[in-house]
Amino acid sequence: MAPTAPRGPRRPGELNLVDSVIEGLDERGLATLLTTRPDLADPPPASRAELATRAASGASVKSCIERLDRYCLQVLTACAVLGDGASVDELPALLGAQASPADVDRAIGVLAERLVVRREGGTLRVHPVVASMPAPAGLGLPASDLLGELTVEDLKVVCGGLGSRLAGNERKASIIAVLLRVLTDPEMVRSVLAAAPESARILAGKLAGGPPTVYDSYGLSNAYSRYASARDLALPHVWLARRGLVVRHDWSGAMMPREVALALRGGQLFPSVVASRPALVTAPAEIDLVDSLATGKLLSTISGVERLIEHLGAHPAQLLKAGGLGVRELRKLAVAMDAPEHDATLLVELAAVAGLVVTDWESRTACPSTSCDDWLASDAATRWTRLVTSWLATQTFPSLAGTLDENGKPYPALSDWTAHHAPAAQRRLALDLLAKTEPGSTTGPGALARLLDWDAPMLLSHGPADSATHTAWIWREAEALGVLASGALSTAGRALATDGIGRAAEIVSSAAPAPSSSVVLQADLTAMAAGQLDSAVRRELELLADVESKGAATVYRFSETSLRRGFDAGKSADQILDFLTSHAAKGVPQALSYLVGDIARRFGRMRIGTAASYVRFEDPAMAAEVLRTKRSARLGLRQVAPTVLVSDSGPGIVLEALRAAGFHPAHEGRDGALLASEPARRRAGPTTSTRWDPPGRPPLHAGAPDPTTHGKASRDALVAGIARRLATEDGGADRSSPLPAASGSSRRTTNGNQLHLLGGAIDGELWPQPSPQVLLSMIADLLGDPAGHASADEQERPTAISRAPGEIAALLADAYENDWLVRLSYAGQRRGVREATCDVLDIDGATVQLLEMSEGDELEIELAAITWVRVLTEAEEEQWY
Amino acid sequence: MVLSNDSPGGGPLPGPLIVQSDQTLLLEVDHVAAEACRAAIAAFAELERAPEHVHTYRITPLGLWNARAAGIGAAQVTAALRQWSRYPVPDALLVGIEEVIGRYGRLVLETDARHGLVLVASDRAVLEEVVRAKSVAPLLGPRIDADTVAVYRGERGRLKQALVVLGWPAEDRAGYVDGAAHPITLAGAVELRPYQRQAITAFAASGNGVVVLPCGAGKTLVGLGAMAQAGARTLILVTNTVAARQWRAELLARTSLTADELGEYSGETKHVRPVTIATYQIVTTRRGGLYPHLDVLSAEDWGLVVYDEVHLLPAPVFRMTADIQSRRRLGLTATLVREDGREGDVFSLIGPKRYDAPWRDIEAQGWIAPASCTEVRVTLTDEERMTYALAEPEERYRVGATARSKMAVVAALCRDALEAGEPTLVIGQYIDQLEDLARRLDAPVLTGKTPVRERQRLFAAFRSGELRLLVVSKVANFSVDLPEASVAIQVSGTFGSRQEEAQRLGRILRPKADGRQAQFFSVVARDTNDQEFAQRRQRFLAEQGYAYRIVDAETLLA
Repeated sequence: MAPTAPRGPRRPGELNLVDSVIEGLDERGLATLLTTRPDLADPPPASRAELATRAASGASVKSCIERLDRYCLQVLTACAVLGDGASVDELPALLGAQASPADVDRAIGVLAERLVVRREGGTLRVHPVVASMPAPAGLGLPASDLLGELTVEDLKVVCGGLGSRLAGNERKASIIAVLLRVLTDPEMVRSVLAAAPESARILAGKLAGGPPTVYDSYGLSNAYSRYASARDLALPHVWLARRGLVVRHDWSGAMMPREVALALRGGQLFPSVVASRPALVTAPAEIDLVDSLATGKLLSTISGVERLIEHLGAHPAQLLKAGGLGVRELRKLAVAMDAPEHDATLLVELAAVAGLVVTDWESRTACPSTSCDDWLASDAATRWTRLVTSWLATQTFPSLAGTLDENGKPYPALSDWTAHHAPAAQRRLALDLLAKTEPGSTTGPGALARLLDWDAPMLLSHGPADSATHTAWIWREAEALGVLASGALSTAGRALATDGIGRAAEIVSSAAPAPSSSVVLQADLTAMAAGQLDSAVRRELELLADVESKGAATVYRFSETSLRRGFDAGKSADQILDFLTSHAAKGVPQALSYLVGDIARRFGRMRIGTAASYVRFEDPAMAAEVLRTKRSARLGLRQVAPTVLVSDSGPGIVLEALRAAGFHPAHEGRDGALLASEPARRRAGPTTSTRWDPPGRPPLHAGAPDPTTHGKASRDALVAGIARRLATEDGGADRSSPLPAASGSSRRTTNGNQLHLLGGAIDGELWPQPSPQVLLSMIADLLGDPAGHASADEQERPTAISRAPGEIAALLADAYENDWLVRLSYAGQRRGVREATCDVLDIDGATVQLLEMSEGDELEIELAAITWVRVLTEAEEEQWY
Repeated sequence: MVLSNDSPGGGPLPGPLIVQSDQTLLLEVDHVAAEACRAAIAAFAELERAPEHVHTYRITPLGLWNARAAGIGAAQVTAALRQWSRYPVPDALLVGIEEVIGRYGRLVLETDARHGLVLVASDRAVLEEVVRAKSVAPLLGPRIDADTVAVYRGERGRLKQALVVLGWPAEDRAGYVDGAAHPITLAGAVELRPYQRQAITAFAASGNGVVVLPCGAGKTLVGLGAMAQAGARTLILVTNTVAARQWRAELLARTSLTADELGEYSGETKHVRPVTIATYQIVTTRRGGLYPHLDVLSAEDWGLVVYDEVHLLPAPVFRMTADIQSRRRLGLTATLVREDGREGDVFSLIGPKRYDAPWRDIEAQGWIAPASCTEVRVTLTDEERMTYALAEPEERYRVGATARSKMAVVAALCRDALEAGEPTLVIGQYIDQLEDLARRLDAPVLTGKTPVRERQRLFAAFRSGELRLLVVSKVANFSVDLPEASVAIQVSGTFGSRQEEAQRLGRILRPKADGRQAQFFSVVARDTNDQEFAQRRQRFLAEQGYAYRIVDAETLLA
């Protein structure tokens, strides 16, 4: 084979390829250009000059190259390798025997039409952007460029390695010339390599196929040294480097020169060149079946998203620190959506792409957007339209979430918002190709991927994975949305590809059965709803019954517990029966209506309310007397039994008021024993803890005592003072001290001392209790001290076990803030003390929500029920993840 | 909802079946194609619930393997689902079914002339997997070649059990020993009902398995039919002596067997004859760590073993059954629900369910009496409620169930029944309560303490119509044939036992001469756990299509 001598990628005096050609284009030529390079038509250019400028821009040329088919791309790559000004005749040799001159001519024609290459007689002129294509076909830089980076000493070592003789006093250029004679001769390159040890031959083969660089800064530092050890010399890349088959490049790497790689490829740029487009293999399918599967799928996707929104509305999902949904959150969502985790991930992504679910970085949660209510209220076709149009338009890869990254960890859902430029175009191209198949013919993602990979290999491989994977993603997403089913475009999907979304939505609208509102109720206390149930009916039914089985139909089971939820939600027995009767296709079985009546009979026979204190009497007459006394009116006393009154005021206040009214009340403790009555001393709430003052924190405000040097009591007072000021500024002027500084215990606690205290602090009105972290940030905001936020993040893991109620609350709040797991012991609902390792999901003044790690149960525990808590060490925590 | 009766435009009706993603199948029974569909899916899916409108079947690996053993392949299952389903069947589900069915038969138990019982694999990897399993290794003998391993003969049952657990059920082609022949024919006058014939055929085709039929539907006759088919020495295992006598009477009346050929093996007599009836109690009698009677019976060359009331089969009998896997085995029961959850052992040791029909279907065909079920809620007096509230937790059920307020209601129900001339049973759990009731109702009481002779006398009097009202304890739960009873009043039970409820209803399901409806009353104390347990007890029957009506005692007494 005649040696091809590729030119360098850049040459002086390049001709402006675009200007001259555009000047000469007629209307048809211009039309062709604007069609084949659509970016030039949008926005429409004002003049030829503008068109020329835009067409010559690097971005536009890259976009043009991205849309070339595989063969044209190969020919263009060959042009890039040959460089500007090469002869057309050199092309076939470089492309190999599979490329016929006619095919090459056709490809050159296409490339010329798109203004990236121009033929001037027998000479090829190449657009500079093309000519400077980095690593074309996986080839490295030309040998002359690479060798120029070496020192004379290094070059001499290479000469020695190749057995080339030097006089000893040559200049660098002439040494390079000597080396080039060897390296540009394929025969000689092959013969040098024939003597190589096997490891070096394997490496050379790999580098020849591209990418052309091997990295090893350590081994290469001695590559050209006279003092290289035997071990260094045995390294395959060192062996190759000392013979010029790779050349040290960019310090830590060694690159194989372009000529060497080409020689090893047998002079051919590509292992195979196929000029003809592969056909899309299809098989016939029943379009009715395809449509019914597609409709079923899109309905289940829609209802999955609906369930997702409903679930997130009630329980916003916590985001990981690094962003995205963790495995545990996702598992919960999957259960709520009745979908396998893998599918649930996609649904979450599609919902996010459609703007139905958003991430709120303030609260680090994922929750439904405000616009989701419109979506929920609309019909199936409208819902589908929003999902499918946003999917078509999104420049992200919804299917990326859940796939494994290079470390083998799955990308979390809602974590990747990187906008690419290719995904939407990839989808469009895939749909266009599928739309060209006969209606009702099926194909597979593999076949589609092969065709797409031929039609626009650059476009399809743009993104986080390879083109086959990208196609598989599109395929899967299209299936989820009912665009594809059983390997064929559904009628709606075809309309989407050809006629647009309007027509597609019409088809979906007519194909999707109207949601039904009737269910079959049975005497075994089950209900069966076939198909999609009207949302309002479904929500009501899910309030009254538990879902037992899902799928094309939903089976519900009524139980006492489930029906009681209805009563809890304020429904009466009549309302429930009316609802059941109006939606029961075959009547309400007696057993069910009886059960409803029976629960109604028992519902509310026990009543629970809130009171801050009680007054109990020996005889009803005295109770009546107290009720009638004017001075007790402001206590808001209510009679709950003949001899029991309750008040929203604390015991201290009630005690004082009744004494003042001339009665002789005694203060009793939890056990009914009388408490010795001392004058009330006001205190802030019981949660004062170390979390307020991490070491080294600056004083809270000027003039305040340094909290780190003062005792607990003064710190308490400080916090309480700030809290009070904060609350007063809120407008509550008459509330003397409304905020019990982040009290960890509930006001309902009947502990006598606390009632004293709380009763004094809170005058008759229930206040929402801010959680410690909210209070902390309020204080920090007030003082303009950003450290208030930051300091919490930098906390060290505490090692001590907290037992005091205030400490427990503070430690749990810390654990929540820092995502630490905790071990705690608490009094279970049924007798007995339990211990558990938990993740803190939320904490407020009185209760903490926990995720129990071994069973995955969510627990809600009153802080008062917790006996001790400690933070897991990092090593312990490792075991749980 | 798209129901069968609305087919817009007169197009083809949508199918009666809905395939759920959790592998349940919902069959709409009012659909015109419901019966055809039921026939198709019953072969591979288990009937789970059969209430009035929508029946639930479940596809389980056991059911699929069972179907595969009967020659039904994945293609047929898939086709049936596709044909009858109203909505497109999820592909994933069909793929899953294919996969599960494909696991059956990669291992085959065969008899080899040289090595005896062998396990042969058509998939070597599976064999390698199972021989390494801890549960299987001790049951296997030496490796014969790459695909074959010897099996200890006595371990055939346990091996099959273990392989099912591992998910690679073996196809058992080792066959059965015929046992010593002993010709039995049904008496000429005996005419089998269609479902009985189907049940016998289904059993005979495989040689092992369980037939599930409601009480009163003639299970005994299925047993007799199976014996006639086998024509071999037969061991019949029954729950108690009364049941043993009843089998004996049936055998004498409806087969060619004579008294000489029949042996009873119970606490009273111990005769081993060509057809022997033994009670569970005697075979599980233990002496010095051994089961002497079990050993005596196991040593015989039986050609068929019949297990009556297989849901009550005690553990030692399971062990014996594992040892006699080469004999034909027939289990009979009204319900496969076992309160101890050993349904899986019944499947692998006795055999899979071979025949099952919803109770209501058999009732509709007129083979069992139609029945109405009523739960009567009794409001307790304040005093009783206080007693209940203060009772120890473990005593609560007893206190609630035996509340005296029930007396008046039971008396009223009995009065109505007797006035209408209905033979009535009062059934309960607690002897004190039953004796109180008997005194108040002036009726004889029959409990575990009643001697067998006296029991038989009472049953005979009841059957003849001389006695109209009988108070019975749980001894009458099973295998007592009282064809004339048409009203049963349950006053207390074994907590939430679903099978007990089914058995008790079964007492009154034998078809009545005049086609009267049977009535089942359950008297329950309101707002106590008696009510909760009652609901649990009713679940099986509700799932079988028996709808309980609930009435207040006040309404009833008014």
